[in-house]
Amino acid sequence: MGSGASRQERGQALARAAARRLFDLAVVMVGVATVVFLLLRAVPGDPVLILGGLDTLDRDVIARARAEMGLDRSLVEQYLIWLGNMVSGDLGRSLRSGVPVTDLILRAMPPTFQLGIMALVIGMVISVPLGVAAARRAGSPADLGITVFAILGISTPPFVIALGLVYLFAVEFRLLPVAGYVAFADDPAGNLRAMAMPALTLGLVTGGVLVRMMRRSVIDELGEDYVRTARAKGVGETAVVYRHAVRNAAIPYVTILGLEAGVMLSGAVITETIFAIPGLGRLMIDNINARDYPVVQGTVLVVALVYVLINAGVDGMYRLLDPRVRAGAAR
Amino acid sequence: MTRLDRRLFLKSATAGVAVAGSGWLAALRHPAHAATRGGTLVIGVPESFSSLDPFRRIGRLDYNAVINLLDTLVTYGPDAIPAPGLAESWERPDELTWRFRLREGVSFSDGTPFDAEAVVFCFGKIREGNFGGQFARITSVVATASHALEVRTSERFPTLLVELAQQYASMVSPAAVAAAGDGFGRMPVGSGPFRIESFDPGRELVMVRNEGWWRRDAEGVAMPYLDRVVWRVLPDAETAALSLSTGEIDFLYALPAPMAPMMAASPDITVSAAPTFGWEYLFFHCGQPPFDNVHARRAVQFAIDRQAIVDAVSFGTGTPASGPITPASWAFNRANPGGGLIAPRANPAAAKAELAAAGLADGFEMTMIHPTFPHLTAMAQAVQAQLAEVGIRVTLDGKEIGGVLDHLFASNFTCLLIDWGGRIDEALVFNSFFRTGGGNNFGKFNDAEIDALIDAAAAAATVEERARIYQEAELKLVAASPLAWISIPSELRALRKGISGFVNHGDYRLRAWQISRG
Repeated sequence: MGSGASRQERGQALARAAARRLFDLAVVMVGVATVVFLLLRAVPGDPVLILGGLDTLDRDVIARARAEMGLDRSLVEQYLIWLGNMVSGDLGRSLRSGVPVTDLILRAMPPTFQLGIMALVIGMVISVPLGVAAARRAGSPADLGITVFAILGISTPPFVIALGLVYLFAVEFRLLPVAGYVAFADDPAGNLRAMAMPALTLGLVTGGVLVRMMRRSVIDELGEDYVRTARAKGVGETAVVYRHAVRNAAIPYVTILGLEAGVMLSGAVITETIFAIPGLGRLMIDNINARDYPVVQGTVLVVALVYVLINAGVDGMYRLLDPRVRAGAAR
Repeated sequence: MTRLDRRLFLKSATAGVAVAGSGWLAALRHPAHAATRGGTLVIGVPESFSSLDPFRRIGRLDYNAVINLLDTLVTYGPDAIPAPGLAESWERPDELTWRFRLREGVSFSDGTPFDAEAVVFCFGKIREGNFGGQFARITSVVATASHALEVRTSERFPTLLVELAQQYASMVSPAAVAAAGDGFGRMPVGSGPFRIESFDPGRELVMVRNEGWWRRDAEGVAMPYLDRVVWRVLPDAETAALSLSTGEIDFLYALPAPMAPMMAASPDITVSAAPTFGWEYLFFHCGQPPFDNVHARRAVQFAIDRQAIVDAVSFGTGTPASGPITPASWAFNRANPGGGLIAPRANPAAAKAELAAAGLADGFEMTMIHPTFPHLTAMAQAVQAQLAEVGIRVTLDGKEIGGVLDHLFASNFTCLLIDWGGRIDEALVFNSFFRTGGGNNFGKFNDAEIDALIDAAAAAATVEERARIYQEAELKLVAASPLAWISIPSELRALRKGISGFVNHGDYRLRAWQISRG
């Protein structure tokens, strides 16, 4: 009976937390939508003039193009139309091509997500063993070597890493294509070949950040009382490090991992440009340059939404990793 | 680092002119290569496509795709002589009537027959489109037989054939328009040399040969020669150049001038350069001081060292400007370009004399707006330094291109540096830039004599007559200096050896149906 009530209470608490989250999400989305709308209009430049530059500036042509794009309406009108459509899930149409913005975004998401996931996996594969190894031998030449490698990864601009990789793998050894993208569904091998260098570029940068994080956290954990206790109880060193220290070090690591995942969405612009990957970063930059307002607005909204979801995911990971968080949520 | 061989560029540039001069159609009738049939051409392009809807105002790259997909009634090469397209012949029984005889046996690539009804439908689309205003003088378009058409106009319309040759007057399949609705810009269907196989605007446009294209080459062989043309979006210039050197692409759509020397040095790659119809130039606001005074404008005109700018800023790939008509144009005065008033080198003495005549012997200060593209920024800095030599103190105001266009369109500037790609027909250039109230006349220049010459040229019967009148107008324009023409950019392309048939006319058009492998 008592346990049933508490389960019910717990369920209600969870529902309340979920409702709060959803409300926060709605506030964030409308806020982002408004700020993006206003910022874009505050930036000088007119989508009609930019397209085609000086090639045809006949005033009648401009006026017709502007009317077709709905730019002859007042700002307030444009804002309300857009907000109204957004509520029903319609992000509008590209000014330049007339294609629905949702189509453009859905098309651009898979490459960016694939690139982000591959880069994070590479980052993790690099950072967990190297970070732990460095922490266990803190102060040794091996630690120094790993730290230098990590700092190089963090501080070398992605375009330098990218061009270095291209020179090596595409020009010298002719193992991989210089640039381009094919969908995994169309050609799995071609897709992986095309994504290898971009993922490695981003993975090396992220890996550098994560190595530093893992090393610091494991060093901290290894100095904790429970580690001494475990060692005193005679637990093997490998078990002490991996079962106890690394597990606890995972919490700050996952936080950084979540932030890095967010960076992948927006920070992949340069990598996507160099390697000609038609992802969200490219979609955004192309359309900022063209002042294709609906596309930029829609892309920013989707990126913001994914950010929020990643953060929620990181919170969820805490619950998995730390029993105290689980207990706290239930209370 | 190999220094660019300027002579090589001049040579290829002259070759480009020679071909343009001898006639675009002549080049088509006498292909310099025995065309091999088949194969794929991969073109690296620097930006995403926006839309391929010819009736909208789209970008230059989009138009390049469109010319390879859709036909027009009239075709019109760099020699400015209207030639038959989907219209086989035409006549003008009176000043206000045009009769067109349409090509028979042509189908759009979806199988819809091309006939007079389809043309009537397309005229409707054209006039609803962004460019509909260009055709406002048309009062009726009537199909008089299955392949005959009569167009009536409310007043004389001497440039109708020129307008009908533009991509915004493309002929498209009425059935495909009805089926595609708003999506037509993604899958335009016409009767041109190629049809679309797949299109992902940010990644790749794949075209395949339209087996039923009506046009034949000089030997009577069906064109196009290529099976497929792939337009791959490679936004980063470095990776695009590397892709060309590894052979992943065959053709670089736009070669940045700073990369030209490196490319020209490669044994596998040919660099193609030809002067364009466009300019890099200064706008003066002719309605306010100091440039309401012609002498102030002429002072700037004389103070600019064009050769130095071409050498330093354009890596030797451009041509010093001599006036509004460029070496690419059929109207260019080869014997005495621009009347010889604007020399490639600066003339500080003449500039100072003009300043004195303007009552500005001590020079003056002004702000120059320019786009922040690297080469235009460098050009603005060079002009700033050159004008300082004669006492004109320039403050540079670099803006992102969107901001520059806002200022330009609102005529909100004293002096503004910009470039444009030019138009093949001088009528479109002169009417737009120099006629009182013209579309691109943002400096509010007005001169009744020049207006009269522009009108006379539009009405002239022959190309030779038109060229003579435009040259006369050019002399007056150089003297009046509503703009300071600095240099003529080159159309720079790079292609792998083994690609033949590409002719660089300097009109920024890639006619893929003339190209073959081997």
